[in-house]
Amino acid sequence: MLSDVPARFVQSNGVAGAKLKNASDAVPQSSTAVDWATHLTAEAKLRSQPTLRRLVVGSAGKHEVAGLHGGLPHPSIFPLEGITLHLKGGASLTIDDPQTVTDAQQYNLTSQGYDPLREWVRVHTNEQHHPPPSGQHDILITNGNNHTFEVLVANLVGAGGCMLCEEFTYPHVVESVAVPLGIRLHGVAMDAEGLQPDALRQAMQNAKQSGSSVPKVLYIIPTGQNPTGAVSGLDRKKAIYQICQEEDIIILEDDPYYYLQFSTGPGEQPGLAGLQPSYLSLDVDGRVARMDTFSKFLVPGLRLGWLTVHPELLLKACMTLQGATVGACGLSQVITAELMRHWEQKGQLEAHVRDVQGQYARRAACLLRAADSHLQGLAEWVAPTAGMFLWMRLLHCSDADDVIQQLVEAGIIVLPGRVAHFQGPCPPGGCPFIRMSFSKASSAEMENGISTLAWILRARSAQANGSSKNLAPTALPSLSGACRAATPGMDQMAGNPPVVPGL
Amino acid sequence: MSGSAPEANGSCNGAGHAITDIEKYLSTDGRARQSGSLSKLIFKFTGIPDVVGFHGGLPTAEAFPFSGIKFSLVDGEQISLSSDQVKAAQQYNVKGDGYPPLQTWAEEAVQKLHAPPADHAVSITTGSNHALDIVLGLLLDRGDHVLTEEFTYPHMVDSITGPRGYQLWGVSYDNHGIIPEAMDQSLKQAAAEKRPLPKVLYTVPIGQNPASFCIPAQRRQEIYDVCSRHDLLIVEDDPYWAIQFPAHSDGELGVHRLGESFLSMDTDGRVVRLDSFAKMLAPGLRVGWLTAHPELTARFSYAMHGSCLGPNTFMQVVLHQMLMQWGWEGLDRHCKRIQGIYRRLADTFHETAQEELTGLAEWERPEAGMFVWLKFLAGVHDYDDLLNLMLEQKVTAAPGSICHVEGPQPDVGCPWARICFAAVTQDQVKTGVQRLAKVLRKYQAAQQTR
Repeated sequence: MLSDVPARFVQSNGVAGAKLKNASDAVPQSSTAVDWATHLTAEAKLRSQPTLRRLVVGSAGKHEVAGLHGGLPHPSIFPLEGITLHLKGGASLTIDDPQTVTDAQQYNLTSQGYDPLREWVRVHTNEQHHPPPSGQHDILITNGNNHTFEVLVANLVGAGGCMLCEEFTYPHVVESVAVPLGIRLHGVAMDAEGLQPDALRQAMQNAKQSGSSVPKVLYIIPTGQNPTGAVSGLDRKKAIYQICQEEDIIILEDDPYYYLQFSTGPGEQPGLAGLQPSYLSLDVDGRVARMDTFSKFLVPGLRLGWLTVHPELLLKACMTLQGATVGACGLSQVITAELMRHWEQKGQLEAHVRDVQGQYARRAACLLRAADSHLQGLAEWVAPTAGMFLWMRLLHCSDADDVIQQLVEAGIIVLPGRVAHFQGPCPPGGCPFIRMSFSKASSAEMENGISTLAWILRARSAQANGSSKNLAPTALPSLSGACRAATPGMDQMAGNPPVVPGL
Repeated sequence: MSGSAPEANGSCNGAGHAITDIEKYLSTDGRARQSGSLSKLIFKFTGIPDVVGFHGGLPTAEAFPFSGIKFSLVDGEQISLSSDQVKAAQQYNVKGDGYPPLQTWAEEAVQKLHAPPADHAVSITTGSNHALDIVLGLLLDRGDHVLTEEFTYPHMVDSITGPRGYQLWGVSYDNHGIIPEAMDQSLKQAAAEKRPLPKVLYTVPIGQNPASFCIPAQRRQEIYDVCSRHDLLIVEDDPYWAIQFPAHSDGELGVHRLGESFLSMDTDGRVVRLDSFAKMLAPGLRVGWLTAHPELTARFSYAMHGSCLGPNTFMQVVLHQMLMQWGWEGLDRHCKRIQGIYRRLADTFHETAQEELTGLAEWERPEAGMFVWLKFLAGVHDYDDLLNLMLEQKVTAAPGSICHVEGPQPDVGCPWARICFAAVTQDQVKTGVQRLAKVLRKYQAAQQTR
């Protein structure tokens, strides 16, 4: 065999891959289809298929060709021979097929990712979302949603550009992407179901009237929204999608908690069949770039996810990903593909997802019980039905910072809501919200944490009322000296960070 | 060239050019980079006892599917992770500069192998491509200049500098790397003409891609001095450092005799060194490490974390355990093994080429890396002249023009090809060279009959 690239990785043009729909089927065109030329940034337009990549892919599988062009190391140097993964519940998964183990250690030979994984993802995404054929969606394996978001921003927004987002959003997006790139965020008001359609219309109107550039991209977290926990129902999504059609907005659907929808009531968990429909499922125009990740329902340590999007944007995203990390980690892709195949044979993916949903449901229920018993009249919240966050408004506080210092001293670490504001970490005006995650704390810690919070809020409320009537009879829970000594002061959590060496 | 005296202005060894304020070297993006508040909270409170952490969005370990992780190695070694390691392998990074035990290993490796003279810090990376992408983003704004060899790493040109709008400044080189006098002259002229100067020198000093040279110590010092004089940062991208197989050496070099890096002579703190496990172990792991001025490393890890939440922990944990079990002895053994494999392939190429290509092409026997930089004789003006014959004879190589800093230039002509001898078997190397010879002979014959 003269080629180092196995025949099964051959692709005709090096880019187009497993479309969600059979390519030979007629694809109805949407009247509001996206004109990608008007959405791509200057950097995106400069990206073209690298010559070397074209060479590598073009001669892949042609066994008779002596390929001396590519820079792929020879598999004989790779150190790993086999992998065994023990699964909870007793089963184990062994990966020792020489070709598979080689593939795991080699550079990505197909630009869009390891084919067996991509195929699994294609079938799964079809089953979960039934994307409308006119959207022409295709799949790219990614490094998880953080990186995918960065890639999409580079191709659709760019440094100095602008973007719509929920008023409270994933802090990382603000501080680690928007701020360094000088991207102007237009925050849109939310309610218990997430982003509000009227507020979106208003935001677009304001942007047009202001004379500065009009945003063409909406970043949204529709399920178990970070930080508010909101879940957008189908009608809400339809209303927002319609506005995006009218305004020609591309929707970046960041959905890491999609699989973490749960029921804290007595009924069954939703599993895979009972999940809220996505924006992708509505996407007749091909204007939704849906980011899925294995991080929350499987393993964050593998750094793996997938992007479902129109082929024109997929091409740019693929090349950007190649330019950055040369594709996703090979071993992660192989492990995930093998695990999915193993589970599929026994219907176990559904069982795993239900199990995970049940865990988060129990955790949410535990935190809510503590909140119900201690925080009535001191805080307001909506019980979450997805994700890992409880978003709480502190009454008698104009800003969470009023109580953060005391919480820290008591060893209770929460995220001040201002950090998640689109103008964070120090937005104008006060922010009386905190985000509490229920993914890690034990039930004892939740009880301890919430009762401490209650004590602090009661003291604050008494202070505000100028009377001591409302002081709780119990003292602040006792703490270990080690905890007090270890926690940093409030100024280290405020907007001006100290220099942290090595980070 | 070697043994030349220090410049008359007395600024040899970069004395007096130590970098004290990294801010002035940063791009707009680089200056704006801070550690995110959420990440800071998570890093701060990880591992602190008696803290009730409601802040992070780290998934619960109870939901992770794996209870055991075992790897078997080609050399017979078995790796079995402890239950703490199994949990860590499945979780997000809890520190911005990588999985702490692996980061500690990398710090020790840098000290052991390079003993950098200036203050430095080490971060684990997601592989050198991404590290390069991030580093250039921290240092350069659109329109800024990167100085590099006239022929350079094509992927960087295609996928990073091109789309980002960084200008490449090509400098002449010979068998030992960039020619310091040419670089110095080029920079002086630009300064005199008040043209913008490059901020960064980018080089692959061992097994350069594509020209395959290795920069010896004396030449390195001269290059370093020019950079120091003109206050350039040096991005030392060294993926083939462990893949050295000099023609004359007693035994394979292993990991301890790999020579002096730019980092090892970095008195100013201006070197950003990119190390990678990709060629030393396997590319599919997507893990490497970066060494630079502490503030630059800090910005790098904020940017890396901001980009993708860091390298995948699964690989970091496995790699760390593997390196612990191997110890330095095992790593040395592994390096010797792969150096032997590459040496045999390089020798096969060179010997077959001597038999078949003498008079038809020029090349140097490679002493490191994966490439041979082959110049076509036989009247070839550009690689493209040979395309049809190569298709007919069923052989491919990478056209040299794709490695030029200005990309393919049809009117100039580029009679070079980059041959990768290391991605194929010994037989494939022989066959490839024989077919190339046939191509050239046929081309030559066709020219003569005109």
